Order: sequence, then structure tokens, then C-alpha cells
Amino acid sequence: MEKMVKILIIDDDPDFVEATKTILESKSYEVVAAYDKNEGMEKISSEKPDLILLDIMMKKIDDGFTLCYKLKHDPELKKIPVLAISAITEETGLKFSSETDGEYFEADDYVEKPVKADDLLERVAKLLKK
Amino acid sequence: MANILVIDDEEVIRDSCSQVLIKEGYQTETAGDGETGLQKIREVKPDLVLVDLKMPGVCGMEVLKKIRDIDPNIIAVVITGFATIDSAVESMKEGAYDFLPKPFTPDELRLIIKRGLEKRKLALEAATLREEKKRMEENFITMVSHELRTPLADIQQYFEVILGGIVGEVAIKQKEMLERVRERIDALLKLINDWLDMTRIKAGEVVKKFEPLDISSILEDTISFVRPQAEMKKITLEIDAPANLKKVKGDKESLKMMFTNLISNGIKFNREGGSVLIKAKEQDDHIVIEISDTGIGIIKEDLPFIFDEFFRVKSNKTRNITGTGLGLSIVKKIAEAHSGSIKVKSELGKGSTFFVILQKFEKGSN
Repeated sequence: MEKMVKILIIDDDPDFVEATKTILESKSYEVVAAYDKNEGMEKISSEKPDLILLDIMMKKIDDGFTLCYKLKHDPELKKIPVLAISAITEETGLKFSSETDGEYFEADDYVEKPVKADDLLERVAKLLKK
Repeated sequence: MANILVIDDEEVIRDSCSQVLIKEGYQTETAGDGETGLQKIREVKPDLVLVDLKMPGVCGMEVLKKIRDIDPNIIAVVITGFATIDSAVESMKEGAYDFLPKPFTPDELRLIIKRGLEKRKLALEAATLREEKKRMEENFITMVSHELRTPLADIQQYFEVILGGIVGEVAIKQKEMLERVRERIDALLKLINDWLDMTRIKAGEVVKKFEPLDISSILEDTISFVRPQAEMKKITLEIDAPANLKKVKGDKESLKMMFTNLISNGIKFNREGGSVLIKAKEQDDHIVIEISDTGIGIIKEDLPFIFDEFFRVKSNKTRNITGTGLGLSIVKKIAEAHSGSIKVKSELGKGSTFFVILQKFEKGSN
């Protein structure tokens, strides 16, 4: 049997994790979750996910950015695709963006909460193909 | 581990201080004169500096002054053999934390170092807190909207799961009702976005980058953005904007937001099969953009209020039109932030025309 694709969700919001997990599991992805920045870092090394769904604004406004920066500057981990997610985008008031903070913020794709099930699955599939 | 620098021209003082401090487990550096001392302060960024007042070359007082420029949180303790009240007071004025007259015992040194380092710890903690508070204040609008949007986004996310049939079949009637709930939540999210836009415009966060802009291409962009909405209501969008119009002085994103609101209103308050005409022309020092619809029009009594926050025209024709009541006030705020203005003409049952008047971009003006 083919090895299941593993997705790590890093988000401090258990409801979003639950809903998103259900969507992903319906397409037979294996889903693990981490609920803060540190747990996220731990699970990245222990679970070795194939893709990461990362919430930008956790306890601190820039937790997601900090984590993403660490990840993308680690020679081992930087190849894991990151899909960044937030309820706030640049248009709705977030001051960072991949355009203005390209070097600092290097997620592979970006989507706003709430995310349509089809849209999420499509983006995930696309990132995994890369 | 704390890092301490001893600056004294007397070797015996440097050595004896170092011995005591190293025994205590501090990382200790020494410098024989003010010049070397300052250089080491820049290199090793010590937590605490013991500095002799009377030295050849750069004197202790000078070092104190410079320390403040390098890092005001570095604790400076003055040591000197010529302890006078005057020099003590003066060094305190220059930012010294305390004063240690020679000769001193190892215990006296240990005590003053311990207190100094505690003070530094507190000062650093306070600075971190201040920094965090400042960041919180700067990001207040973002934080509030994040807190408001997150629970709604969660609800929508669950709807995606439930209505998508991912966790089991949903009965038709249940589905209908849940779809309605989802629409209401969508409207609430839209309201939060509009309110946020409004707040950000007021805070001067939105309209800030003025540049010469080609109004025709901005209108074209906006039209292609709202076209799907127009097609759903079978509304024709027409544009009449010469390509050679003089440029306007404006902020691109906020102008797009403004025209999106106006054209989208023209579509929403229109009759099925109606049209929206978007015209741009030069008039004296200004560029005037007209947006006319063939819709329901606005009664005279309501006209003075349509740009007010949360005002909505109430009639049996508008009952089924969703909106937040903030669209036109956003438009007005954006026009005003451009030193421009907005006017309206309307005839009940025939349609409305909105006039946006913007300034031409003049070379050398800003």
C-alpha cells in the first residue's frame, strides 16, 4: 500500500483544526495537529510531515511568520511546502504580505479563513505535486 | 551569565576586581584606558561597566556619556580614589548607577554588582514590555478584526464540512436553513471588513501613497472585477473614458475600492436588464468620474443621509438587497482623503448618478 501523505496543521484554534482536519481526512490524508509555535516546531521534526498548514496569527501576531522563517532557513526542512492561513489578510489589515515581506515570509501559498473545502483540497494537491 | 567590563588604568585594581568577579562566575573583561574601554563596550556589549573616573586620555566622565549613547541600559558603576561628593553627583548626572570609593572590600564590590545587575534585569524587562505594548497599540485594528473574524471563520469552516456532506447526508430542509445561516454569517464578515476599511481609512492607513494614476485603466480593472456580479443580474456595464485623460493624483488601491463600491451599488440597486455607465472627463483642474445607473433611484428625503455610516435606504424595493450601510461612507472618506469630493443626483424610478471629483496630478505638486 502506498504511504499516506501526512499533513501537519499548526493553529491555536481547535475549531479550525477540527473542521480542516475533517476536510483533509475525507480525501485520505493523514492529519496531525499542533496548537502553538513550539509544539509546531517539535511536530515538524518528530512527524516529518509532507505539507504544513500554518496559521499566521497565533498567540502573538507574528508567531506564524517566525515559524515560517525558521522553517525556510533550515536546509533540511525548507523543502516542506507551507500553506499559510489566516483570518486576516493584507487587504483586511495585516501589515505583512509576501509581496512586501518576501524575504521574511516565504510560505508557498496563502489562503484566507474561512477556506472553501474544494479550494483547500486543490491547493494542497497542487503543493504536494511540486 | 552576566558580562562585566572593568575600565581602570591601575593594573592592580583591574586584577583584583577580575579575581573577585570571575570567582562569582561573571564573564569579566578589562580595559586599561577609556578608549579601549569604549571599544570593548561596543564589541562585547557588557551588562555592567565598572569605570574609574580619573584616567589619562578619555576620562571616566567621558566614558559615562558615551555609554549612554551606545546602550542606555548598560549599568555603569563609578570607582575612584578621589571620592568627593561633587564628582559623585556629577557622575550620577551622567547616568552612573552607583559610586564605589577606593579602597573597597570584595564584599562591597560583590554587593554593588549584584544590585546593579538586578536593576539591569528589571530595566530590560520593562523595555520588553513597553515594546510589546507599543506593538499591541500599533496593531490594534488588526488584532480586533482578527478576534472578530476568527470565530466566524470557524463557523464557516464547519459549514463547509457539514454542507459539503463530508460528515454525513444533510436533509434538504436542514440544508436550506443552514445555507441561510451561512449567508448571514457571510454578511457579518462583510460588515466587519467594511467597518475595518472604514477604521483604517480614518486612521490614515489606507490612503497614503499618492502617485500619478491613469483613471481609465483603474476603471477598466474595477469593471472586470465586478463583471461577474453584473452578469448575474444581467446588467450591462459601459465605459466611456478617453485613454488620453490627464492623470489623477491618487492612491491606487483605495480608488479601486471606491469605484468597486460605487459600481457595485449601481448593479445592486438596478433593475434586471438595466445598465451602469461609467464616464470620466476633464473639467478645469479636475477629473470627474460619473457612475450612472438605471435603477430604483433615491427619494429626495433620503439623499442628505446616504453617505452617513450605517444609513440604508429602506423601501419594499431594497428589502432583499444585502449591504452593510458602510459602502457609501467609505466612498466619501476615500474621496475626501484625496482632497476630492462626491456628489449625487437621483430620480426615483429612473436611476442615480454619482460624481467623483478628483484632482489632476500636477508636476511638482505633492
